This record gives sequence, structure tokens and C-alpha cells, in this order.
Amino acid sequence: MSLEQKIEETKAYNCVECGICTGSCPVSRVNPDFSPRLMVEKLLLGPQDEILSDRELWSCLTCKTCSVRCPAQVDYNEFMRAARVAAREAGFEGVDTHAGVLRSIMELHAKGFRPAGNNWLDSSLQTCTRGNDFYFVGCLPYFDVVFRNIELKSTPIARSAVKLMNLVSIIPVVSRNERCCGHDFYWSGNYDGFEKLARYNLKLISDSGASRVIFTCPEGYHTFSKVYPSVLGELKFEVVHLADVLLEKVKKGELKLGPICDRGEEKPRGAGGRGRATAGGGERRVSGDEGQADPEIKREAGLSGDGQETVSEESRVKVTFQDPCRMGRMMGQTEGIRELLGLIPGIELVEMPRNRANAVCCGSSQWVTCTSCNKQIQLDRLAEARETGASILVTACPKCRIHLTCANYDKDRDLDIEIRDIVSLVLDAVR
Amino acid sequence: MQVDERRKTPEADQSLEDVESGEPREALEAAESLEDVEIGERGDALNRDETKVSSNSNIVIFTCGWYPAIAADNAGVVGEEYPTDARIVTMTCAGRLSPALILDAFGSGAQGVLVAACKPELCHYVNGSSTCEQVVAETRELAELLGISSERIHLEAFDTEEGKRFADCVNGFYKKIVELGVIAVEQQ
Amino acid sequence: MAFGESLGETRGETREMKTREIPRIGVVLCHCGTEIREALDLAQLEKQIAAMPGVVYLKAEAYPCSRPGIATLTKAIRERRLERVVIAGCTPRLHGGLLAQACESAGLNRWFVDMANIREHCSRVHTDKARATEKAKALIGASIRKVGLARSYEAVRMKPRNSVLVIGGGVSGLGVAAELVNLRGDLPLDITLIEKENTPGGVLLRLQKPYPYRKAAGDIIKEKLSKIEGKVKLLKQTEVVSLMGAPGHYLVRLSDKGNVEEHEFGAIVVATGADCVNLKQLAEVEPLNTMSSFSGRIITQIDLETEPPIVDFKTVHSVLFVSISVPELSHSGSRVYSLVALNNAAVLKETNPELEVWFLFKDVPSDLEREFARAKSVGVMFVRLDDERTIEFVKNGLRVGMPAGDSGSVRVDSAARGEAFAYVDNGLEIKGDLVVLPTFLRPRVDSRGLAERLRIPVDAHGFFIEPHIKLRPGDFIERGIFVVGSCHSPASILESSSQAMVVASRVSRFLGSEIVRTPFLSQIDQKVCRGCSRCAEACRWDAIEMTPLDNGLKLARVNDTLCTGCGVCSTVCINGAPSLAPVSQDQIRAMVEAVGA
Repeated sequence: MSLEQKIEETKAYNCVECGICTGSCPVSRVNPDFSPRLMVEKLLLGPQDEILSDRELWSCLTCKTCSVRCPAQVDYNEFMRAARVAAREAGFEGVDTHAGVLRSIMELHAKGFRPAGNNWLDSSLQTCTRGNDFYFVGCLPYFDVVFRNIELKSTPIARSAVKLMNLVSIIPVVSRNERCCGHDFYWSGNYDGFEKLARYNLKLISDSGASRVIFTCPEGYHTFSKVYPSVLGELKFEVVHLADVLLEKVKKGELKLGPICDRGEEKPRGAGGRGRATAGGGERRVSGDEGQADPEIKREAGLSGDGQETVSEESRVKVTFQDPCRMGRMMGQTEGIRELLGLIPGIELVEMPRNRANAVCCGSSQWVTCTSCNKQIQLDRLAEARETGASILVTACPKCRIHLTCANYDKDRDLDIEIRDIVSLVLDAVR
Repeated sequence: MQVDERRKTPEADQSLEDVESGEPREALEAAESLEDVEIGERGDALNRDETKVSSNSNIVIFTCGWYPAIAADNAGVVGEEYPTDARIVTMTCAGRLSPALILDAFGSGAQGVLVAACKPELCHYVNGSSTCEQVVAETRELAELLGISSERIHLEAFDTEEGKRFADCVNGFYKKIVELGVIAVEQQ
Repeated sequence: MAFGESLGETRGETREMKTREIPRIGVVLCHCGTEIREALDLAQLEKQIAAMPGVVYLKAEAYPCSRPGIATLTKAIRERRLERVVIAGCTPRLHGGLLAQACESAGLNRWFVDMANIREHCSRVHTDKARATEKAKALIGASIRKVGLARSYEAVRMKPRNSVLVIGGGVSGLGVAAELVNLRGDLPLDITLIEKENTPGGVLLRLQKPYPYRKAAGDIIKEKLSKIEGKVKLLKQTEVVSLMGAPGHYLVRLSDKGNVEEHEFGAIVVATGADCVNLKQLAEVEPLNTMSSFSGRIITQIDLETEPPIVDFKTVHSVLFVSISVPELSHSGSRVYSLVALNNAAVLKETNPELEVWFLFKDVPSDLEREFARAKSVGVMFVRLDDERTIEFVKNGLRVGMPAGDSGSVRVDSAARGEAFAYVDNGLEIKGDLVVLPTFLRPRVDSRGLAERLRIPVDAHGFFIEPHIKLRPGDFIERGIFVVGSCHSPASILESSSQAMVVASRVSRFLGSEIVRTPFLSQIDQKVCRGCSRCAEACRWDAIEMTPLDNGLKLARVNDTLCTGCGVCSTVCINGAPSLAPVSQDQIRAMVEAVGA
């Protein structure tokens, strides 16, 4: 499909130049050279070469905040993506981050190299090679290696996920041959690479016999759920985020939750050692084994008859939540995780001013073009989180976690807030 | 660049003196006729496969431009021999090597990557060689995750006169790569 | 808004996006006389190269590096309007510079020119013609891709500062300074000589009549000082605290008893000398670690120089000079130890004819024949050792041990008096009441610290290795740091003096030349940098500075004069901000793709 056709399809011509997109765009706020409207203008009015060679083409985070608010319903995300495909064909690319290593890894996946990525499993986790449920891990094992430079491990999320699934009697298929879902290639204009990855993954799922694929990554979730069908036909399996599975299990009583232990185990230690989160309201700090509450807390909590624990004021933990773009705004799923958080005793969810469909993107996307503008977005978001008074910023996306942690890692700033994934948090709360 | 600009050029160079006898005149014809060919016929992108050569056990040797490059040249001077599958890419400093470049080599079809660096204490740029050590270690981990045996990535330090050792190292590494076989790649 | 404004200000070093235009590429296929022609199937190669995208000119040449060859090339560049050139032939280290220069003279930036090594890397190391040809095609294809993506670049040229810093006021340092004064004549040159101690002279201060001079050491020092008086700034009790900068423009901080000052120098000469190993240190090393069983006196060569004499030779009957190498302490400079020992043995025998002087040695360097002959002629007795014959200290002297089963006798030169030695089981015992061991030289205790500050490498022992002693891999700079004397490897006074003359001449030439700065420079894209400081931390040349912005973030900036182009910054950057002119990561990637396939 040519760019012209894409412009029609995405309704870019309908732009009424109201500027709402620019006002909403997190990038525009910090980068005066970029705005969605400017991009549309350049394309519609200027010679095609101009926009294709424009480096600002790669500044877009594809977070869709603009599209959601656009009165003319321009599908800006799709327009951006199509422009990038055309740009690539003309020989222009964005600047790869991390010296191109993530891109390299994904390219090798697309070329058919057979990954052997399940070194993160340990003997306590039960998995299988064929079954009903397939747990799609994504790129977490690679992140462990690449993000040593911010002292962040991502595979604990995977381990927590499998553990939780085991606790609710799900023994998932975990395949060592999993490849990247293709999200990054898709949104950065490498359509061919994306398609190859998609085909490999579909074959993998089909070979496993799974009828449901569970994700802990909203990017994978969105890509499988919305993108794969639109280009490769209807999926022969169900797709779901683990949080929704857990929510169902908790509501059914199959999974019991208690107050969490404020361990901060996965929090990275930056130089000088960032201390544990402090929070307002005189909280009690509790330490203990994973999943086992301190006996004192138990007494104070006072198990009530229906299994729900009541928690004293001192043990409340204030958290706030970073909506992932792909799940929240782009799929409309904002309440599931909130409900889940609400079912953890002692958790008090305080919202950031910009939440749900108005949530701000974590600031970096597709491992392409990450600059001080992106860092500024991240720092602003972290400041926003801190201002809520929460001690923990809960993420539901490994990417959000990495990007926000990275911004927090540099020595010149110290925003004292713990960043934790929802899955690990729930595991902490399990009784 | 417009295709029109590539039309017939002014007369080709006729006067060719040569030091030795036996000037290869055939090439002159080739030089003239190149101008007449349209770009489209020869491919329009720098990514054309024309420059790719197929082989089964290619090794890419990343060579630091200081001591190891001299060792590599030296191998030719002292009459050593190693397989044609071993191809050298020279860089100013091994410290410039990033994990992506090594992985890209595998992606392009190489079955092994040999990194020839200077001894860390002799690195002209002080910490280039030691940075390279870290890079190679990290890449080996990633390679394992990608189903590429970490034995396919090897780092060796060379000094200037080690032409023979360079050739021996390449030969030894090549043997190992052949033993390890071709990396399994799933075709679609 | 504030952030945007500050971004605009720092926007100086943005990088261009690459484009898809294919430049006009000319390829010269070298036959290297007949060498490459015979080893590769050039006809086939020509066909393949002609078909590669971008190639508009292809020429086979017997010797592109010859004058007619270069004339042809420059003509082709002009007439065919070539925008890139690839020369497939020998190693770029041989003629790369010459060919690049030729192309520049025809108006083509040298970074649009590349040499594909199909000789040392191909025709000379392979015997399978067909496969070698295949490989040559890949190598040439890689070069074509590389130049296709290249951007033009101009290297920075500058003249070095007209000033020299000589570190160390011993034989070498004073020699360099004096010779520099001599060479420059009336031309201005700032020479600063710093000496750690309170008096210059180095090891000369411990000697009386250094061989082969006829004058006292003190006089020698005075003479050298007089040569530099008024023309050289002599700073005593001064040391180097730190070094920054690039060849020709060094910024050195000197400390004078705690007083730190910054100076600029064009060249630096390191002449810090070496320390003498004392007896206590020798006692720990094999084979001298059996010293304690000896009941007589043991001294080292330099102790013979002490005034008043440490030994009254009237009370001594037999002196044993031991001249062997000790692996741990020996360096390539074992010649100086033999020289000193031979000389001292001869002098001692000459001045005390009744003394029995034995000389135990393993090897004597062949160029010391004269000293050897002299010692022999005055009656010094020589005992030759070899690898299997070990020495051992016994109560009355030394025992030369022989391996079991060796029936041969030890060769003892010159008329030997029966009482002085005796054959014992498996060995020969030599009586002596004084043993003189070599004065080994080892690097100064602080040599590693100084090496780190000056960023010059040291060898396993700790001696300084002169930078770039053998190589010029297409880079253009000669580092302006020169090493001379015993701090490089143990040298005699004569050797140090001649080295000093040579170094002075090199320094002078260096200062008179134009330095072409390394063309490889890191350029940090200000629009990409995230301010994480990883590059600045990784840069061992302190070439990257973090400049603060209005919004509290920082941006990394490269100091062109300090950057050496190693590329470590681009490896550690998490954003891809640094790019190394004039060869980009994309170019290397393209080459890898071409050869990996």
C-alpha cells in the first residue's frame, strides 16, 4: 500500500488543524521541532521526500494520545507507521538505541535463528511443552543482559508470572524458541521483519497446541491481539494479559491475597544506593519471606471471616499506576488492573492526574530515537508519580519499567519512588 | 542522482603507460561499457545481493587496526595459509566493536566471529581493548540466548610480529566452527 | 519554552540522515605486477565488480602505486567525475597514504577512497584460486559498500607548541636538554627540565669515575649543567601531577613541593632512569637466595664506587665477580651489567695486582670483546657457566654445580692458582672472601604511577614502552611523548648519552612538523544525547565534558583536541549519540554484511 493510500485510509486529509494533537502530545511538550500536526502538514503540503528524510519522523512514541482526542478522527499512529515504512524503503532510519543491540537481536529472530531463551526458569516452576495455556515471555531474558547497566533484571517478572500461574493450577507452555512478538519492528516501519516474526510465533503457538496465550507484556499482548489478526488473519487462540487471569482467580477465591511486604527486592541500586521508598502517613515497614507475612502484621491485620484481611492504617501502602499505552489507551483496558490492585489488602491506589486514557507514555518506544526529550518526559512522569504521595509506582509493562527506571538511574536525579511490576506485586500479596 | 547523468562519458582514457609489460587492456573495454548500462538493470539499492557471496562456514574476523592488523598482514608476508572463509574487517580500535556488530555478522551468514585485539595493557587508546573484552563477554551471553553457541565468538590478543600465530589461531578457530556445524536457522 | 531554547543553542553537532543516492564509484584492480594476477581469477573478478551497483569505472592496473598508475587514477577521477574510489590490492598500510593523497590532489576527499586488501588478506594466504577469487569479490564488495556510505571529512592540522618538558635530570635528561640547546642554536625553544630530587645527576651521583670517561662523575654533571645554563628552565623537586591534551598540545600540571602549576608543552621526554636493586632485594631471588650461607662480604657493583671505599682491599685475598642474569630482574639490557662488571674487574685487578679476581659469567655480549680482552690480559680469571651449571653460595665462596653425570670439567681461563679452587663432587669450589653481584636496574617504584599519568604503556617489569615503536597503521600522528635511557631498558651511561642525542633530534623534528590530528573523532549528536554520562566516564582521555542545560539535564560534548577516536564512547552510549567520523557504524555494518554472507 502506498503512502497516498495510507493517507486516505488514516484520514490524514481530514485534519482540521485544530492543534489538539500537539497540545496532547508528550513529545511536543519537550521537543519544539515535533508535533503530530506538523508531521501531517509536512506530508500533505510538502514534497514527499521532506517528511521521509525528516528525523522527527522517528520522535513519535506511537502512544496514540493525539488520535484518541482528534476531532477529525485521524488515525495518527497508523499514519506514522506507514510513513516510517516508506521512509525505510527510501533509505532513512531512526537512530538505534543501545548501539543497535536490540535491533540486532530482533533481526536474528526474524531471520530464523532459533533462540534458546529459557535460562530464567528454575526447578520450582512448573511448565510444559504442550498444553492449553502458552505463556509468552517476550524479550525479558535479553533485557537482563542489556540492562545490567541500570542494574535491572526483568526475568523476575517471568518467574513471578509462572509461579502465580502454578498457584492457580495453570501449567503453562514456556517455549525456549520464542521470538520477539514484532511490536518494535511493526511500529518502527520494518514491516517485513515484523511479518516474519509473526509467522514464526504463530507457528510456535500452533505447534504447542495452546488455545490461550497469556502475556505479561502489553506490547506483545496488543500486537498479538490487534495487529496479527489484521495482517495474518484471525487467531486460532485467545489472547489475554496475566493480570486479567489473576483478577478472575482472585474473585473466584482461588487465589488469596494479603497485605504486601514492602521488600523492594527488584529495585535497582543506583550509585550511592537509593534507599527504600518513604511515604507519607507513617507506614510500617515490613520485611519477611516472599508470600509470608510477618506474624505481627497478621495479628494486626486480623483475618476476617470471609478470608479478606483488614489492615490497619499503619500497614497501608500507597501506590500509583502507570497505564501502559498499548493496553490502556489503545485497547481500552484500564480497569482490570485497578480492580486487581484494589483486591490487595492494604493497597491504596492514588491516581496520577493524568491517568487511564490520559495517561502519559513512559517516554521511549521501539528502541529507536531516545533523547534528552524522552528523558524529560520520563522525569516529569516520575515527578508526577511522586507527587501523589505513593511509595510504589506500579507498572504492567516491562518496557515502562525499564524506561522509567533508566531515567531514574542517573546520578543527577533521585526521585525516591519504587517501580514494581504488577505481577511481582501480586505474588508478594499471595497467601 | 538522476539516471540521465550517467550517459556516455567523454572519451575513455587511451594513454596507459605501465611499469611492467603486459598491460591488461581488456579492462579498458569494460570501463567504457559500464556507463551505458541503466541503473535499473544493475539494481537500485546498496543492499543488493550482488555483493553477497554464499559459503557455508564464513568467519568474520574483526581486527583492531593497530597490532593485530599488522599481524594479519604479516601472515601474508611469512607465507602462512588459512581458509578463504575467513574474512577480515578492520576497525581503528577493538573498543569500537559493539554487540550489535558481532550479532550482525551472524545475521549476515557468518558461522563464527573472531575478534583480534591488542593486549589490554598495550592498547593505543588505553581502555579500548578492555572495553572489547566486556563487549565480547556480553555478546556471548546474548548469543547463547539466540541459539548461537558462545564458542562461536572468540577473542584473541595479538602483537605485531605474530603472523604465524594469527594464521594458526584462524585455522584452529575455523576447525572448531566446522565441527560445530552450520547454525540451525528456521526457514519459512 | 526554556528547554527548547537551550536545545537550540546546543544544536551544533547534529548528524545528517543517510540517503539512498548511489555515488559514482571507480574501482582499480591491482595485479601487483603478476602476483595477484596469478593467484586470483581476475577476469572473473572484473566481470563481477563491473556488475556491482554504483561502479561506473573499472580499471586493471599492474601497479596502481606507480607514477603512471597514479596519473591514470587522477585523470580518471577528473574525467569520469568519480565520487568514490576503491583500490583493490595490497595492504592499505603500504600505499594507502600515497593513494589517498593522489585522490585528494584530484579533488576527491580521502575518506571517499578505500583500499581492499586482496593481497596480504587474500592472494598471499590462500591457495584455492576459485575460492580466493570468491573471497576477493566479497572484500571488494565490502569496500564498495563502505565508500558508498562515506561522508567527506577534513582532518585538523596544527603546529605543535614550541616547548619541551624533560622529566628527569640524570644522564639521559641532561643529555637531551643539552642536545636540544645545541640543535636549536639561535632558534627559540622553551625547554623545561624537572628533577624530583634536590640535585640533578641521577645515578651519576653515586659513581666516581664512570667508564669510559676519564673524569669524575661530579665533573660530568657540572659540564652538562653548564651546557644548559640559561637556556633551560631547571626545576628541582618538581614532579608531574597530571597530563591532559594531545600531541603537540599537552597540558601538564607540575607540583613543586605541593605548589601546583599548569604548563603547556608540545613534546615530552621521559628520562626518569631506574633504581638500583639492593642486596636485600637480591637475596629473595634465585639463584642468589642462598647468599646467607656465605660467611664473607657480599656487595653489588655500585658499592665499589662508594667514597670512602666500603671495602679495604688490603684485607681481601680473593674477589668473586658474579655476572649472571636473573630472569626476574633481567631485562633486555643485560649488556650494561656485563659491561660494568668487566670494567670493574679489570680496574680492580689493575689497581690491586695481588688480588685474585674471579669472573663467573654465563654470557658476555659479543660487542664487549674489548673489555673482555682487557680483563683477561690483566689476569682476571674467568669461569664460564651455562644453563645447567648452577652457582651456590657456600661458606668460603661459591660452588659451581654440575648436573649429575657430567664428567666434563668447568673451563677455567687463565693461569689459576691451585689453592683458590678445588674440584669437589659434581662441582667446582672457588674460594673467595668478597663477592660482587651485579647492580640490577629495575624501574622506579613510582614508574607505574607516572606511566598511568602520562598514559604510556609499561612492560611486565615496569619499564616504559615507547608508544608506536613499530607501527603507523594509517594514522598520522606521532605521539609527542619520547622515552629515553634506563627508564626504557637498563642502559649504560654511554648508551644513555647516545640515545639522548637521537631523541633530541626526533623531538626537534617533531616540533618543526605539522601534526595532522587523528581524523577519527567522536561527534556527539546533541539532539540524541540523553545526558547519562556513561561516555564521559568511559573516556580515558577526559575528552568528554557534560554541559548542563537550563532544564537540569546534561549534554555530552567532545573536546576535539583531546579525542583520540577510539570509539569506546559509541560502544557504551545507550542512545547511539556518538558517531565516529569519518567511518560510521553504518559503514562497518555494511562491510560486515558483505563479508559475512
